[in-house]
Amino acid sequence: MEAIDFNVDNGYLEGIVRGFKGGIITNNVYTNLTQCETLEDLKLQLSSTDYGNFLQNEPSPLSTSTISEKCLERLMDDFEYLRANSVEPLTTFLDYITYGYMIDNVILLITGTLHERDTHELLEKCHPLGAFESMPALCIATNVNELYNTVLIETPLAPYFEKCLSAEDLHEVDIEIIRNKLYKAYIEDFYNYCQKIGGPTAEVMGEILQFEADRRAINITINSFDTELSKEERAKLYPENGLLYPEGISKLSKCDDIEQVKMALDTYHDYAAMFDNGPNQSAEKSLEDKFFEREVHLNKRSFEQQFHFGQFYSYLKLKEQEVRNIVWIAECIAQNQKDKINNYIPIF
Amino acid sequence: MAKTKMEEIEEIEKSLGQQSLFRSEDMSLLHFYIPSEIGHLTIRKLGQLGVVQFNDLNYEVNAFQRTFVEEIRKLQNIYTNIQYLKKQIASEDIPMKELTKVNELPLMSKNDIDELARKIQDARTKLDDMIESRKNLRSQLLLLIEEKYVITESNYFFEEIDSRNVDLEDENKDKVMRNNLNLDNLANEKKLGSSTSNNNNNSVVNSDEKLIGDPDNQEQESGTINKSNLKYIAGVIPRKTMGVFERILWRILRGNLCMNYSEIEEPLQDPETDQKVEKNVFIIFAHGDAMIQKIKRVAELMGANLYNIDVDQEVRRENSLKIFSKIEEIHNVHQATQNSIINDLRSIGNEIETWQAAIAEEIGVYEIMNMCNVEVNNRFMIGEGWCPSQKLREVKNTFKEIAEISKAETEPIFEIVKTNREPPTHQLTNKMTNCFQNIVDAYGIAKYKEVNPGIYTIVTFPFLFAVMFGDSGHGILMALSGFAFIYFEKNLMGKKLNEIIAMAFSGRYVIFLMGLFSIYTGLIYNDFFSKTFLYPLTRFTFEDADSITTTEENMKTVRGKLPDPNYRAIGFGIDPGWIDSENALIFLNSYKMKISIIFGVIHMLFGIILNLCNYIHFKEYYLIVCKFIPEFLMLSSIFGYLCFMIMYKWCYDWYSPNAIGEPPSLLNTLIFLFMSPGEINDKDLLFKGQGTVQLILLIIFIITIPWLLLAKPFVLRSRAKKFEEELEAKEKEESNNTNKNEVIDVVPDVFIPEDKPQKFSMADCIINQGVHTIEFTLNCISNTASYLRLWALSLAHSQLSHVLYNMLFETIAFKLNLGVFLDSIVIFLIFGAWFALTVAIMLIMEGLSAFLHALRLHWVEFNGKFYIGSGYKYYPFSFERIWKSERKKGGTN
Repeated sequence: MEAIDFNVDNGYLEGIVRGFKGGIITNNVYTNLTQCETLEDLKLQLSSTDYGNFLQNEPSPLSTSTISEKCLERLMDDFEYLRANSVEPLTTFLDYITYGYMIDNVILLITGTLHERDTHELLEKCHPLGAFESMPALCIATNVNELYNTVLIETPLAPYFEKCLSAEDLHEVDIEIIRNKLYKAYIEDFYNYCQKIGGPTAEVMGEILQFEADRRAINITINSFDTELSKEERAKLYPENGLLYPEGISKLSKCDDIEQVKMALDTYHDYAAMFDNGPNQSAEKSLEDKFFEREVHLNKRSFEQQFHFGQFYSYLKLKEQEVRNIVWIAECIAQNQKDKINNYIPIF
Repeated sequence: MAKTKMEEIEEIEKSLGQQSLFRSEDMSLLHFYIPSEIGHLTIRKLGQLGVVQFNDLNYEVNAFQRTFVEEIRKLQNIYTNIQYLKKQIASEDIPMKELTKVNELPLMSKNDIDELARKIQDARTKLDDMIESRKNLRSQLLLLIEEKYVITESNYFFEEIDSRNVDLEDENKDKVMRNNLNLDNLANEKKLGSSTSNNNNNSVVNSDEKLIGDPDNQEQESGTINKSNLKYIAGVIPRKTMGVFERILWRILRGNLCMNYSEIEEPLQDPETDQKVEKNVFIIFAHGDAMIQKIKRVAELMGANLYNIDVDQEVRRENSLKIFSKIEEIHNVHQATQNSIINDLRSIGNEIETWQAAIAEEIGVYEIMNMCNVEVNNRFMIGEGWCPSQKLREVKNTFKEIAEISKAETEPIFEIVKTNREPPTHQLTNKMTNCFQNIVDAYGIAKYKEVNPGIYTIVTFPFLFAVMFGDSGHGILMALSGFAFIYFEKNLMGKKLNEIIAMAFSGRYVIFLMGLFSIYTGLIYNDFFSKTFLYPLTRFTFEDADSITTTEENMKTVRGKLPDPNYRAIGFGIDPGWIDSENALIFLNSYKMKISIIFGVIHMLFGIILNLCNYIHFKEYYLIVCKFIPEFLMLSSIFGYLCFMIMYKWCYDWYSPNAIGEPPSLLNTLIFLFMSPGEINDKDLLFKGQGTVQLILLIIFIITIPWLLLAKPFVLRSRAKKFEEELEAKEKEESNNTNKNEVIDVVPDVFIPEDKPQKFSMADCIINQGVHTIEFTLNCISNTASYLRLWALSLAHSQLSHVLYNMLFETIAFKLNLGVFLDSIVIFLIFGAWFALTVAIMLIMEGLSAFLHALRLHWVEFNGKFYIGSGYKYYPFSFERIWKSERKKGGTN
């Protein structure tokens, strides 16, 4: 069915996003990038890619943060273009993508305010994708209720936030819990939305979001060891749309250390493989990197189907990974740590 | 024994043929040995000369691992600075003086460049400083202007409260857009507003809490105000964020928001981005310090500027006076800064193009130096490049000159090297032939020294176009427009034109010639804006319509006939009597179809003959027998014969009593040539002995197929065997002589290696030749049929213009009968419409279509017969080129 009328509204954007995808840096270029001696070389090399002359007007001693900033700016431009040209339900879908970044921004601002950081500095650090108009006002809130009632109530995050209102004060642990609760609600909501759209979108996005949910569940479990978080509390944080749900989740919720996590995931082939080297051993790649790799893999796969929204999500995630890669390489060059320079995650 | 360089050059020059467009220029491969200390100077001089195309000797080296990357990077920074300055100049609308001649640039040494770099850097730093201070001034100015607005707006507001004090019921009708005051607040404010006592000494401005007017102070002074903790905040906020700001405050204050705002009418300039921003003035009242602090925080975070406003009218007035004078003051300073910025930019603008050209040249020089190899102990730079043999003398002279200028101990030298590598193709063109050459180059760059179809294209292209575009009227318009471009050529040359016009301008000579040829074919077809002219010249006589008995049949047709069988036909083109006759289309179609075939076959046979020139020039004589003869025979045996039949049929007098019979259908003849070889129907008979001739032709056709397929591979195989034997012998000899050959082996393997002869493979060769044979045989038929597009487009063109004329004039304009006066007006208007449509549809659209078809006939049908097009273009390192591309870039920026 999608094949019949998808292109009426979304054909143009699909074409655009596939074009954008063609601009994602390939392995060849990465090899060239890793051979750069200075950031100036990097700039030269990047200028032959889709990034073009984006660094041209930057004053000469380049810093990695400028590179990262400018890369993100490019990504933002592209994404805003997609968003501006989109038609429902793609518009909502694209909005959904930004909610995740909004959550991050909210949490960043709350934590920052709690530690009495400079507000303007904090605002600059926020991810531009998750920016919303009333964001600056977040800094004045001192407790959760106020936060909700003054600012968040008019953002799309409000329904997610309703579930965390029980937390009275803003402590560090509470903030983490809030973040995870928000995320859980967000992922589940997004997942349901994609399922509602149906067709290949549901299929492709289902897979990606299931993985996302599982990754969160595993990370929450591992990070919660040796903290005050009780197991019951922890169980509430697991997203319930992943592959692990319900059986794996219930196993995970009983884990006390990394070995048990490994045991719990034993029956899930994809995840078990990630623990093969053991994240604690002197493996070349951390668990996080493996998750990223898996994410890249899934996102790459979404381009193999047509007529679905997943590619917009995937494009953004791949591009984000690309920015991370460039920044990593830039950092390695700047700090002269050439031996680690190959730890980026290749995309194409 | 050793020839001097000059003798060598003279010898080469003597061996050169005449320069022409027929074949590309002779090229020589040069090896340069340039002493390092004058390397920069030498490359620069060669750039000015602009005849050498350098080869990259470091093709294995990564772009940023080359010798002069640092220098290039530095220069690119300077270049960025120049771009920045240009941007500033453009933003102030200051004209930049354009550089008109490259030669104006003096020869710059490294020091000159360094100095220039310093100059540009200084200019930028100075400009940056000034822009920075201008920005500061602007932001100060902005704050003051905002404050001014806050005071004036709050004046309205406080006055309003005063008036409310007098008359509570009076609703706000003034500038205050929105008033959320509830009565409670209003009551408080009444008291607040009424505190018009003389508190001149009260320095609210200097109090610690600057941003909050503190009514308590006044209360102490005047004593008239009630105890109240009502406080207020005033400020300016971008209009865009106003809505969100208000909603957030509303929530923070739990719906108890008391805020007034009004719009500032003039948009204010944001000093950071230089963009105009629309802003609002707001004033908020709230209870309690904590609340005020909170509001203040939110306001600041939302990008508002807060100002301290006194409750007292007098103080406000005084403040506003102060502000006015301050604004005046800063405004003056700002103006002065602005003027000096503009003056600076003006003086920069006079030179900036020169700077840019110089830096771009310098970057080019270093890029070339990066392509050269630096000898191990850094004494010599070694380069390699192609140079047209005609220009060797110039290079030699330049080197001499360099030796004189530099007074170095060693001078740069070059060596002329023999090589089997394929040189670049350099076609000598001028402004007229260039465009035609481009048509050919778009298909493929000629192989070195191959026959260049460009020279024939100059005539055949406009001609084939005109066959499809045959209308003298349209031709005149087209020729005129082409001529106009040529006439104003000098004026238009340097200007930046709109893209489409620029395209037409670059093809002006093509357009002009196409127009001229169209006039010619129009005369032949007797078409002038779809009408015939020269009507009286017809040799036909027409039966007088009146004299014919009026049967229905006769009413429709007016028959024309030649009055006398011996009467000679009109000497030029089609008899005008044909046009408008009922069977005109039948006649014209047959005629145009036949000439299309004739033109096509001649065009293609000519293409095949050009092969002959190539084979002789490249001394591949065996191909004359293996390819040229069978191909020529194949095409001419069938389609050459067809052409012969067409012409024979035209020339034969079918009305003579001795005629062989009725005129036969050539189509049938051609079909039966294959279907029943050697036989011919009586009614298809064209001349005696036709059957035998056709049988022979068919046999020739069939024989040529295996001939074409097999001859070349077998000849090649026998040659390859011989060649390999020779090669082996040679290699043996060489391996014996290796020790001898170390004469100039300072750097033996620096240069790009010679091309290795490819190993001969019989299978490959047969497959290639098989493909070629099949392709050629099929193309004989399909390409000939392809030329029928000449007929089809010509038909479409004449019919379309006919319809256009008939629809507008015959069916509308001439049928109105509104009286002479109105008719003439209508005809005048319709003429306008007709002319516009003629230009848009007939000239532009039809012209484009005919152009494309002519293009195709040249690329596929003609070039496909002989043109290899595997070469690469000669692209010399030349400052003029660099400079031109800079100018183009400037156009896009």
